[in-house]
Order: sequence, then C-alpha cells, then structure tokens
Amino acid sequence: MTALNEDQLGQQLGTRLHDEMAGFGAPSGLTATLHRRHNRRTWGLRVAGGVPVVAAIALAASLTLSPAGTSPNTNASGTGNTGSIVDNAPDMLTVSFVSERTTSALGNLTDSVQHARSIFADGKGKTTFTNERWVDAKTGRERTDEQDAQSGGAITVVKSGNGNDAIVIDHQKKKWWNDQIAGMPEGVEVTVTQGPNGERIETPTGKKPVGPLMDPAELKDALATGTLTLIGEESLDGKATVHLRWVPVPASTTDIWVDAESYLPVRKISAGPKATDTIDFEWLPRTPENLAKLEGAAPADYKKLPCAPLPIEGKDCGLGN
Amino acid sequence: MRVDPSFDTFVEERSAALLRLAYLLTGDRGHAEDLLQTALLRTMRRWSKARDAPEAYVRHVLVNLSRDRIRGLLRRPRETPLPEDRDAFRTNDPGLEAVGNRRLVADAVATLPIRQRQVIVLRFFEDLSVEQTAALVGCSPGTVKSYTSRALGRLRELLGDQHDTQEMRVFQ
Repeated sequence: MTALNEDQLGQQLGTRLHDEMAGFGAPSGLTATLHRRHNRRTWGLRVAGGVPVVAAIALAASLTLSPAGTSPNTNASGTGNTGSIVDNAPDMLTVSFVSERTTSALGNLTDSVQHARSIFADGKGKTTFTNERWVDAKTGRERTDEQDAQSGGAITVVKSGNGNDAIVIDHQKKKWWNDQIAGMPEGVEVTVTQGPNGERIETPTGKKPVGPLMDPAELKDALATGTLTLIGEESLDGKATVHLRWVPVPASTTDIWVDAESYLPVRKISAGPKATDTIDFEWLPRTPENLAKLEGAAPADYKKLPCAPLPIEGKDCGLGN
Repeated sequence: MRVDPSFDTFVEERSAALLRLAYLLTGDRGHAEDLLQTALLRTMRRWSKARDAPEAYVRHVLVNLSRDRIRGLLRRPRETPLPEDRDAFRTNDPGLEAVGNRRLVADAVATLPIRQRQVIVLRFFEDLSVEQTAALVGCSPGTVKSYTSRALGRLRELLGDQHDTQEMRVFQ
C-alpha cells in the first residue's frame, strides 16, 4: 500500500472531519441569547452616558453586569413565577461555566445536610412513589422515607453511619428489623420491579448510571457531545436559578436548575416516555435541628423481627408477605 | 440599539458551521459555545464593518479567542470529584455507552499544540490556502507549511495506532 502524500492526507483528513462534525447542530436559542446580551450592554451604556441625576442608577445597573467568569447574579425580583427569564444574567454565563461551578460545589459538601424530596409519576402524571431523604455526608448517616402510592406501603430506612448498619421500619405492617444496607457501588444501575407479593425488588443490571453534574466523567461527555445545554436564568419558586437541560437520547430529558449563587442543584426533573422523576434539593447547615432529621426509631408498638426479610430468597422472618 | 436583521439571518445560516470550527479549535463543546457566543457578539457590535465578509470576521475572532483560551485555562477552577449520588437519573439506553467514541479524527486533532491545530483545521476543514491561513494565524506561509507538516506527521502516528487497534482504516 502506498503511503499518502501530505496533500492527500490533508484532504482525507478534512473529509473525515466534515463527516465527524456532520451531526453538530447550532446551539438552541443562540440568536435570542445574543440579542439579550447585546441589549443589556447597550442599556447599561445608555444610562451611564445619560443625565447626571441618574448616575447612581447607572452605577447600580453596571454592578449587575458581571464580567466574564464572575459569579452570576441572583434574581432580585423574586417573582416566584417558575420559568420566567431573569434579565440580569451575567455576560458570560455558559454551560461549561455553570457546570464547573456545580461540579466544584458538589465536591465540597462535607459540611452540610442534603435534603432531597423525590416524586415519581407514571406516564399519565399520576404519582406512584415518593421518597424523602436526609444525608449527612460527614458521618454517613442517612434517613430515607419511601411511600408507594399504589400499595400504600411506607418504609423508613435509617443508616447509623457505622458501616452499613441500618434499621428498616415497615409502617404498613408495623414491624421493624436490623439490616445491612450497602450503598449501591458506583457505576451500577438497578432495575426496579415488583415481586409477586407487591414488594419492591432492585436488580443490578450492570449498566452505568448517567447524570451530568452528578458524575464528572458523564459531565465531560455531556459537554463534549452537546447533550447538555444552558437554557438560561430563571426564577424558580422565587429563587434565582440557572436552568440546564440534558437530552442524552430523544424523548429522555433531564432539566436541572442550580442555585444562581451557590450553583448547587435545586431541582431536577427527569422525564421519559413512561415516567417522570422530580427531585427538589436543599443543602442545609449541620445544625442540631437539621441533624435531628436523620434520627429515626420504630414506634414502641411495632414488632421487631428476628432477622432481615429477603423476599427474593424466600426468607420472610415473620414479615408476612 | 436595533440589530440589523441581516445579522440574525447570518447567525441562523452559519452558526452550526462556525460552532464546528470552534469545536475543532478548542476540542470541547462547552468552550466552543462560549467562544462562538463571544465571537458573534463582537461581530454584532461591529456589524457595519463585518457585514461584507461576516464569516471571515467571525473566523478571525475565533482563532484569536482559541489562542487566548489556552492562556485562560490556567485560571479556570479545578474540577473536583463528586460524591456518589444514588438519585442520579438512570437510563437503559445502551446507545449512550458509545457516545464519545465517534470523533476519532477530531479527538486526534484536539491533542495537537494549538498552532498546529489551528493550521490543520483552517487548511483542511475550512479549505483555506497557505497564505490565508498564515494571515489568520499571524505567521509566515513558511511557518504554516512547517506546522502543517509536523501536525500531519503526528496525526499519521496517532490515527495509524487507532486503525491497528480498532480495525478502522482511517488512512489507507
């Protein structure tokens, strides 16, 4: 085989690059973004060059125009209208900037208590499952309360922070037991199904979980492939946020709102054709009051089981499934 | 200040192509979008001057910005590992596994030093002549030829390795 000369190699390289870039679309809403940024700048200049009486206003306005790379401003209006665009966006608010800030903020969370409230709904919007979780990253203590809207089942899991030691409380059956609840290893996906007696069964499938802003490698992929885009600044329940959208495959969309000051996630809505998962996040200081949310014990009239039930293996331990 | 409608038309028609150029110059989609926004904003503000050859104007700004970005990288915040989050959305789509492996040549180009990368992209992706490339990059035609030769040699090595291991005969 004859080696290509430089011109031939260059031409082939160019052709190949065009092929590889063929699926690269323009960013959505680019024209509108440019107009918004352009208008903000011209408005600031107009005020600054106007009547001296408004000089103070001009100064205030110019302070809200962040230069490249600085922290975005919060929404001063606090309208509480979910989805409304905030006008005072910084000049260089970009998907990579916001992603980096969020990644960094999530990596420095040793001194806070995470509170997440999750609502699963089916394709018709009917709530099927709710989950409320408190996590103290510093000690590894966790409390999770789950409710199955269909069966009426309610389970509380309290992890002590001592390895995998946990107690599980079944409120429907008024029983509780000691258990070992291991955190799912990183990189393992589970499929949730229902057993013959209505119990929840989690089966590891071995596939990788996905979620940019939650995993640096996937964030990198999402940025590189353009599946993560910046929608803009929005006021979410009165809080200034930045809205990102991740569309890994058609018909599967995850919208993420991060706080415009701390860059920590505020809400995440993952929507597919058959289900929607809405999670609201709070990042709270480790005060005695917040740490108390991690506590949990079975009420005195609940019966303690002698062992941990394993429904898949047919081990009931007196649970009565 | 009103924006000339011809600018909007230009953005709608050419932004995808310009984003591809920005991507090849930076090797990163997020940074490419940053650069493109900044370049288009500058073009918008100087539209009366740029409107005769807007694409050349934007290309010039992109090349300059991509060089500046290398310096700016040292000032960027470092990424830190994230804690495990079991609430992360999970999907069963196996197609996701393959994402990221589709840009063999673009990834190889991204490993080149910035000057070599600019020269390769401008000459063979944008189809510019040696002289046009020299004017944009700010060096002599001889230097462009030298960069081109070195970059092609490196790419030949990189992509030769790929086709050995992945049975993809990129260059036959």
